[in-house]
Amino acid sequence: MSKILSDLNRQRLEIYLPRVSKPFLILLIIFIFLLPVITARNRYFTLVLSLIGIYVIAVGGLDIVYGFSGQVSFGHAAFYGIGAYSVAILSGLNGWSFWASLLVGVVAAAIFAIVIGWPSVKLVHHFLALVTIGVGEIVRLTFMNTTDITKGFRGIGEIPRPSIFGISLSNPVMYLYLVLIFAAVSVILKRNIGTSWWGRQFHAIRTNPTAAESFGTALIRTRTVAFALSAIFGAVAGALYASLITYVSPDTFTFAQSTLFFSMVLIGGAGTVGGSIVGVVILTIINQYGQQFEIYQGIFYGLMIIVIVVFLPRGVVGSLEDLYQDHIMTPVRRGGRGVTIVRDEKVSTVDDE
Amino acid sequence: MNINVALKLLASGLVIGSVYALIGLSYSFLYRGTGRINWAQGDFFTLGAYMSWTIIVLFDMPYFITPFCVAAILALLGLIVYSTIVNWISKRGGKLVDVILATIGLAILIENLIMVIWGTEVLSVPNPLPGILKIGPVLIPKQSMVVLGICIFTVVAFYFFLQRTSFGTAMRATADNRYAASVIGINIKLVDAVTWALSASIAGGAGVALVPLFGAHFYMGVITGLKGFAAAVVGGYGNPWGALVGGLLLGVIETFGVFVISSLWRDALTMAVLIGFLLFRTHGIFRTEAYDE
Repeated sequence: MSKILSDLNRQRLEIYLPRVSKPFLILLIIFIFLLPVITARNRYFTLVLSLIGIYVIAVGGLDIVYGFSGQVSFGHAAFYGIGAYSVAILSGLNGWSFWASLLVGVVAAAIFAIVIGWPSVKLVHHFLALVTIGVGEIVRLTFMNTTDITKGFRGIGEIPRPSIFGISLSNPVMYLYLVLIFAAVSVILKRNIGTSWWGRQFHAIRTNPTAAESFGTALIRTRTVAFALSAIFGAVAGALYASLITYVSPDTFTFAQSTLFFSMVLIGGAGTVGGSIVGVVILTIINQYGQQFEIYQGIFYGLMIIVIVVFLPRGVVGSLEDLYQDHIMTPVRRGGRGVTIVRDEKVSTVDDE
Repeated sequence: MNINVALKLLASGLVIGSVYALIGLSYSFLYRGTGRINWAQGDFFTLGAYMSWTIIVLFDMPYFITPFCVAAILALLGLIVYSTIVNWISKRGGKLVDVILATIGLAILIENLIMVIWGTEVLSVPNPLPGILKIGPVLIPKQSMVVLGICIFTVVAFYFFLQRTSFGTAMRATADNRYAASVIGINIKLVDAVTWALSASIAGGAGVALVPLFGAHFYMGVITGLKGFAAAVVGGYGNPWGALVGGLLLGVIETFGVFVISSLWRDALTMAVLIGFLLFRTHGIFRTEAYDE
C-alpha cells in the first residue's frame, strides 16, 4: 500500500516539499548560526531570537496536524504548557536535570494527546476543534487551580537553565544556540515526516479521507499519530520556553496563545516547510514591535487573519511556491500540455455541502 | 443541600442557561440553514450588550425599544459578514474550516474594536424591571424571569417560523438539499442572507436580555459564546429545541457544579460536559441528523 500511496503522491509532495539547493542551504545555516554572534550584545534581540526558535518548533508541530493531516487543533497551548510545567515542576521545584524533565514532559504530552485524540479524531473536524478548545481550557484551569503542585496563578519562578556535557547554558547566547539547534532539527524532522510513509498517509487523509480509507489507511490511527506528533513538538517547545524565561504561569497557556500558533501556521502557509518559519518570524516581529500600539495591535491582528484566510489561503510561502511552480520552473506545464498541476482547492473533498 | 438552596440554584441556573440557549440557538439556526459556523457569534452577543448600553445610557431611550434597534443593527452586521467574508470564501471554493478561521479573525477584530470604542471596564445598565418575585420559598429578580421568558419565546417563535411559514419551509428545504432546493426555485442566496441576519440578531438579543443583570464587558462573549456552542452541541446541533434544552441543562449543571465543587472549575466543568457529549453522544440529546457527513 505504501507503494501505491507513494506513486500517487510523489508529484504532489514535490510541490509541497521542494528540495532546497545545497549551497543556498549551507549559506542559510551559516547565516542562522552567525546571527546570535551579531546580536550577542543586545540581550533583547537574543531573547526575541530565542522566542522565534521556540515558536518554530511549536508551530512546526501544529503544522503536522493541520497542514499535513488536515485536522484543526485550537488546543496547542495545552501541550506547550504541559512541556513547560513539567520542566518547571521537576527541574525548578524538585531539582531534576533539565533533560530528564524534558523527557517526562514529552512522554506526558504524547500520552495525553493519544488519550484525548483517539476517541475524538473520529469526529467531523470542526468538532475536533471544539474538543481541543475545551481541552486547552481544562489544562489551563488545572495549572491555575491545583495550587499545591503548580503554585496557581503566582506561577513557578527560578527555573534553572540546562547544562550539556558539563557546559552550563545559562548564558543567553549559549542558550540561543541550543534553541536554534532544536529548531533546525525540528524543521528537518518535520520535512522528513512529510515525505515519510506516515507523511504520505497524512496527505492522503487530508485530501480525501474516504479514498484514503478505502486504500487501507487506518484513519483513526493515522490521525491520532499526527496529533501525538504535534503534542511532542509542542512539549519540547514548552520545555525550552520555561527554561528560557525561567518563569511559567497559567496566563501564558491560554486560548489566545493557541490562536497565535494557528495564525502563524496560516500566515506562513500550511503544509510547507518554510511556512512555519516565515509565519513565526512575521508574527513575532509584529507582536514585539506592535506592543507600543497596544489595543490597535489586536485590530490589525484580526484583520490580518481574515485577509489571509480569504485571499491567501496557502499563506505567504505557499503562494510563493505556487508562483514559482506555475510561472518560473515549469511554464510549459501550464494548461493544454497534458499535465496540469492539481491545486489543493480544486481537489474535491468530502468536507462541505 | 436543603430543598430551598436547590430551588434557588435551579432558578439562577435556568437564567444563565437561557442565555446559553439563545446563543446556542443562533449557532444551531445558522448551521441548520446554511451549513456554516460563525465563531464570532459570542462577540455579536457582546456587541448586543454594548449597543443596549449605548442606547439606554447614552441616548437615554427606554429599555423596551432596545431589542428592536439592536436586532436591526446586528442583522445588518450579519448581512455584511455574509456578503463579504463568507461570500468571498465560497467564491474561491473554500471549505467550512476557512469560514471558521475567518470568523475567529472577525471575533478578535470585534473584541479589540469594542475595547477601543467602549473601553475595558464593566458598563452597567439600570435595571428596567426592579423588584423581586416570590415563588414559594424562592426569591427571583423580575428581570431574570424576563430573560427566561425572552428565551423560551424566541425558541418557540423560531420553531413556528421554521415549521409554519413558507419562508421557513424554504429554509428547511435548503438545509436538507441545497441543489434540489435551487432546482425547485428557492432563492438559496436570499435564504442564506436571511439566515445570517437572523442568527446574528438572536445572538445580539441575548446580549440585550442579559445586560441589565451582569453589565457589559468586552471579554464576556468569548467564554459565553463557547458555552452557547456547547449548549447547541449538547442539545443536538441544528435543532432549536435542542439548543433550549441543552442551554438550560448546561446552566443548571454549571450552577450546581459551582455550589458543590468550586467556582474555580466553572468553565472546566462546562468543557468536560461538552467533551463527554461529543465523545459518547455526538448527536446530542435530540438525535439530530444535521451533520451526518
